[in-house]
Amino acid sequence: MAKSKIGIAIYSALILLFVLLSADFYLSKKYYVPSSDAFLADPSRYAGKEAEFAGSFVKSTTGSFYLESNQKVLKVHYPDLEKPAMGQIYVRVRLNADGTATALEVHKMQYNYLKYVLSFFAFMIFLYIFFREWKLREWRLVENA
Amino acid sequence: MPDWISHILMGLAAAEIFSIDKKGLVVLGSLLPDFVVKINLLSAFFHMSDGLLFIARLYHSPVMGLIIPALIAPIFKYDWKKTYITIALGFMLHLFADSFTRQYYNGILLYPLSTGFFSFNIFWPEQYWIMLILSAGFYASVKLTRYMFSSKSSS
Repeated sequence: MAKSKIGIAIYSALILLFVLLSADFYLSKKYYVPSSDAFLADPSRYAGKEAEFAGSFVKSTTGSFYLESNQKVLKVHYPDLEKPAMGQIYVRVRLNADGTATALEVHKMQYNYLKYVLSFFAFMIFLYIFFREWKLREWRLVENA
Repeated sequence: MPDWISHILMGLAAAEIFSIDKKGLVVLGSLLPDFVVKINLLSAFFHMSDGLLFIARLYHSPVMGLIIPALIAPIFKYDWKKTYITIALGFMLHLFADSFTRQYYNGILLYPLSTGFFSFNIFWPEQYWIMLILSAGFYASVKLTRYMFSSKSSS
């Protein structure tokens, strides 16, 4: 009985630690590179700073291209970029006060989407390996003899 | 970052090296860091909360590799120490594998030690196939070595 009380106390402390770390990390957001959402909401605040984004290619115009990140479109000054095949674009940029960005580095992640197809099959393999060894009984996982 | 097959193969290789019976636990640990952080893929279909995407990155870090397995271990009706160590091993292996990838999140989050990241910056994400070949080769060589040793000891 005493052992289970100690166990419950330790587990509760772990949950508290998990929550505290999560909250502290969230509050430290300002020390990290701004997201596309944050930048586009207040471009002048982040003007001159470097940032990195990855997203899908929308279209290319003379001297620039458009990148979609988290359903927001960002204009990046960089000439003659072609759309990557089945993949995203990574950019390292300098942020501008007008809500656009100037590319410092651009990389096309060609055929990167195929990785997710592979990972889908990997998840099936994981389920097979895992449930070959374990089964759910009531609310716990027990050995699958 | 490596694909999930590579992560599974690395987990299975570690299970062979350390003679871990419960391979399912290592493999679970090998995929666990991505179970939360992959919500960022949903942003391809609809807008995700900026805060949620940011905080998800924490659950793909070494500090959470110590905490999350401890939170999960009691779910298993098994030796809790072995369960914790096995899942944590898989978790840390995943992070180690990811540290070879150059990605726009810069690598492995070093929170709470610092606000920085760590990465060997070797492969781009679309070069996952290199890691797949390496991990498959490593797993095959570990299995072959164990088979050769067990054949020698039985003869």
